[in-house]
Amino acid sequence: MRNRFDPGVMNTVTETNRASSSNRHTHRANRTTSTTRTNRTTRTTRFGAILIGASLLVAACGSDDEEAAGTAPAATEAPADASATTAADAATAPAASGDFSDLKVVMILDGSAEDGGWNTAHVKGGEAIEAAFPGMTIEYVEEVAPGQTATNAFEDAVAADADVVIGTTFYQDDMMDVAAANPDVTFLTWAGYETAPNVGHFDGASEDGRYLDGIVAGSLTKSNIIGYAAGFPFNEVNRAINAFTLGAKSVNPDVEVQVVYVSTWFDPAIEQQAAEALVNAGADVLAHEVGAQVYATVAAKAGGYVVGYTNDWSTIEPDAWASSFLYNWGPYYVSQVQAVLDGTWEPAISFGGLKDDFIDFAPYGPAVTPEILALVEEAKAGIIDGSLDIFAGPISDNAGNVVIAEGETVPFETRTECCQWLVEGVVGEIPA
Amino acid sequence: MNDSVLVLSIASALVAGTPILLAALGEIVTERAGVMNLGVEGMMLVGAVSAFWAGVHTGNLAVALLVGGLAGSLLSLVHAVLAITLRVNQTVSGLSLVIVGSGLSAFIGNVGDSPLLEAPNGVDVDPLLPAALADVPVLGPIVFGHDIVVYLAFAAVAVTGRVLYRTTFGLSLRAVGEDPAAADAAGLPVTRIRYLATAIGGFGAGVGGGYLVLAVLGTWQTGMTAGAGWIAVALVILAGWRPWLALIGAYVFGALRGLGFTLQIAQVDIPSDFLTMIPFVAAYLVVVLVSASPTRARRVAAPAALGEPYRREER
Repeated sequence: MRNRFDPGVMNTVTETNRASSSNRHTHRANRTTSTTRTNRTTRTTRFGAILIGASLLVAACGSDDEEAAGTAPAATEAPADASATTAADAATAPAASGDFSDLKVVMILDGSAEDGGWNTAHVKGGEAIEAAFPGMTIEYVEEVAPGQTATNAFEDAVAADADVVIGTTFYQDDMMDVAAANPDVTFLTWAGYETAPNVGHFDGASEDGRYLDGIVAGSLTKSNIIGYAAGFPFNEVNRAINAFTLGAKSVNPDVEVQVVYVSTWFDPAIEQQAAEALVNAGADVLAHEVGAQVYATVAAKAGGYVVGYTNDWSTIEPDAWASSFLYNWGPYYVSQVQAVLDGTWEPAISFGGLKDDFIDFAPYGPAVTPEILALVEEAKAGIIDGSLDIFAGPISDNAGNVVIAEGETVPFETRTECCQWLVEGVVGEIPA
Repeated sequence: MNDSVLVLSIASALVAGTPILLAALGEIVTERAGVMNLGVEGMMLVGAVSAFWAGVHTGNLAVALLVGGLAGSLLSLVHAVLAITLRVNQTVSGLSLVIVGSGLSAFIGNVGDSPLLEAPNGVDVDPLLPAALADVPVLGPIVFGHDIVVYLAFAAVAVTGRVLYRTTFGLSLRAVGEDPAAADAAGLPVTRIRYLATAIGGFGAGVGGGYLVLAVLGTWQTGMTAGAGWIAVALVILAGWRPWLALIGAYVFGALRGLGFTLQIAQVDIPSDFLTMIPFVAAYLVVVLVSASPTRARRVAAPAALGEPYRREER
């Protein structure tokens, strides 16, 4: 979820320091050669430099412990153990048979594979590919921020003989040249806007899931104030807030969604203060679209509930846990790889929601009663069969202007162009 | 009255400022002895993950914080060996400590079948004083409603200030930071004092990280300090290497960061980025003031030998 569009996010120390370990290795090599070449360096400095080099190596080993040897790019890592959920995901995938030992997929992640949210969902999709094509190889490259680092990672992936390269964040501007130079490799990236003969893109309609999460939150709140921490006011973020609020209001017309923009994708200490500010303002259910887990702990401390964003925090704060939609990339990934193998793959921008099986849900918390679940299921069925249109007019923004007139809507195909307004019921403003 | 946004915000600010305060306090001791350790961020992360681990396994706040502090100390000794004994460039060594710390903590947080990443907090951090005191109007939440660490951090400021300025050991430590050659000539063990000061700094950062993860956030996440260590380093400069000013700085910083959200909720149109920027701008101003005015410089300047390795026979 972080780093998607915002170059400023690279400022955080962890991100910068954890650049791909291929860079780290080069850095270390340079350092050692330069010290041996210079005769004037004193013994102590040289020894010190080697020690620093060694400590850098420790750091590198810290995160790249299971590093693939040989020709594979230095930054690739063996995936985490396939969990039980993989089998469940794979069950939905078409059964394939045969030997896929020649097939190789490289997935480039913008954060840690174990972030418990955005990238973990993609890794689960990768596990679904693995299960669908036995014997194939999949490698993950973690912590790749958009920019030159990303271009290098895509080049490394091609050099490692990947057949399909998947990028989980906005890498559009970093990989088109690599794709043009390697027409035999298929590239899929998140939220790209420009296709090429071997480049396709994908995105999930989070608002479908958000509407249902809103129903849960609107049913659970007693103070009728729901706190919502958002990162930056992008279309996708505002659209999710609007869908969430519409969902909450569909079951509880008196509800208010108090929004704060925290201007970061990940900074737990700041997010903790945002969450506390929301609780202090009377919120008893917290929702978010930022990276930290503090919404769960703050909500639990306040005796309220938390709605995740592509997270499952049911183990962290079991009592406060309410619900969260999850992205379900497995079926899409498997179908794309299958099409590449069959030679039927066509470049496309795939935007999928509930009806396309792009959206799934984490286990619901204990406070979500069967009555609430029935409301959720009813809305879910409506969205899938088309009888429920989340953005059907008339809809006003929170300044009182009609933004979607009676009889109009935001069609599914153009939803990514929405929204730079906040729906009636949201308390808060889009920052300038 | 105790439900008012102002009271709650001030109470939150003290908690939010405490991890930064602990780390900055440690760094003040380190830098007062002439060692500049920029690896606070790395030590906080390692301290945090160690404290969280200890918390999950023991459920005891004191043990967890102690483990976090010792882990921070242990990592700081890497810097001590490099910077004091081997006389490596302290900036480079400190920065490498950040890299080591973030990598190491990410690794520790992610090993095993049930990694710390998915673990619930093992420690309950409760208010120290009876609930009746917390119900006192206004003062209750702000002064009496906190956990023990907030008060201990306050006490640590007093102790550090007292030790630095009113004891022989403090005088020795400051002498080593101002003029190690003179201190050496006076018979002070320069290397030993610098090692000790560096370890104390690591302890402060480790406890700060531990408090952040156990009491403020309640969950471990990779890279969760997200720059808190750098704020502590900036705070040391802002405070002119003085413990009491660091206390004020840390609380003000916590308050400003929270204020951004409180104002957003109150629909006051001041960007939160602007408010969080203020402490850094203030740190710059202090640096500018110091270089512009020699008289002020003497009062808030860095220790004279800060960042300079000491070599006995070099003149």
